[in-house]
Amino acid sequence: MDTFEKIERTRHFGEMFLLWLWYRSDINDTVFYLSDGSAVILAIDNQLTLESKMTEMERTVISGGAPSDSREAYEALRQGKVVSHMKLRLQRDEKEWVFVLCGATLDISSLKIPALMTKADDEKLYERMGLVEEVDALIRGLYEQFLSIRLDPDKWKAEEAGIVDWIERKAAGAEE
Amino acid sequence: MGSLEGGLSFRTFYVEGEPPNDFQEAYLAHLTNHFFEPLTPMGEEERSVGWVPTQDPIADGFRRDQVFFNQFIVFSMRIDKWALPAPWVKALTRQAIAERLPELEEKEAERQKAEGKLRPSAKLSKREKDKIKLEVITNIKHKILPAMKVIDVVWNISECTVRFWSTSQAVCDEFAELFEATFGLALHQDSPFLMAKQLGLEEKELDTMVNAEPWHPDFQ
Repeated sequence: MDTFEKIERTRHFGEMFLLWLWYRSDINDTVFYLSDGSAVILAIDNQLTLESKMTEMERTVISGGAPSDSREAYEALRQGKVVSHMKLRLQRDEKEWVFVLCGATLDISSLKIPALMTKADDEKLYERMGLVEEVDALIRGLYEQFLSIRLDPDKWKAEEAGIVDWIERKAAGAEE
Repeated sequence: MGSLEGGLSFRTFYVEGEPPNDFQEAYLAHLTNHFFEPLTPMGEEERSVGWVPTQDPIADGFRRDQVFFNQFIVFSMRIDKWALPAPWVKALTRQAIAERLPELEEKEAERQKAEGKLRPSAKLSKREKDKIKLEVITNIKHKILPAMKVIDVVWNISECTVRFWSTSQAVCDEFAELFEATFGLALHQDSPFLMAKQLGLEEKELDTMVNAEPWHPDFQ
């Protein structure tokens, strides 16, 4: 199997990663601990897109308010839809990033970075790129944590059960 | 834009291969070899793609201090294309044909008469009409500027990553092709698989990923 095929076959890991972030953010009160022991706060912002892999183009876009609390979102999960895009709010220390993460590609779009302190062009470049690379590293840290669970059969079995239970509870009791 | 100001939507690429020791000299020459070439009204090209300085996308060359910032190499991909106003092309072509029709018809009728046709019917050929349309388009191109798109590129040479400020698949593919042609280095777009590889997962774990089926919750 060539690399291209491997890339295509594993795109669902990105979509599963988004669902896992949503689940963990909800049950852990938005707090994640990275492998270096530092904590980040990650919350679903006001935009969530779910897509059906069975029926092409069947898409549920939930925006405004708290889409991750809506019954529609959990119903879409119950119907087998996967999370294709999710707007996230990520905080570490005093810094906050807001961005849309794409499941299939792990692209970051519409990223808002913390306010810059510098004015000069070259300093601005270093600061902007530093903040871009920092959020990228945080996402990688979270993805690494997800993979350590997803690729361990025992850990994943427990996680699976937790996710199914969570979806059922939320679909039954979430806000309209 | 994106690296210095404006929106931040980007795709990450991994660069395969090491930069040479004199990479500043070599890469500046490579960028210059693939510098953007402007479109001209008389030219046949409808679209042009090449590299430009991020800080001055209409400059006619690179300065070293615009490109190298410690571990970062910064430049932009400029894409120009003629965006002709279709209603104007149509209206002006119709007008030009109407203006020249009597003269052209007269010539055609005379030619047919000379050939001995008793009832000459002169119609403007498709070729003639296309020629007039081309003249109209060239005139319009003299009056407008091409549509310009400038997309930033930031290459972190120590991390072997490139960030490209677009998430459009078609534009990303064109960028990767131009990058490879320019520097002779292969680029790979980030993905769940490549990110896992980059994180240092072992071959066995990567194989597990490849063989895993998509997970769907089972609500039995």
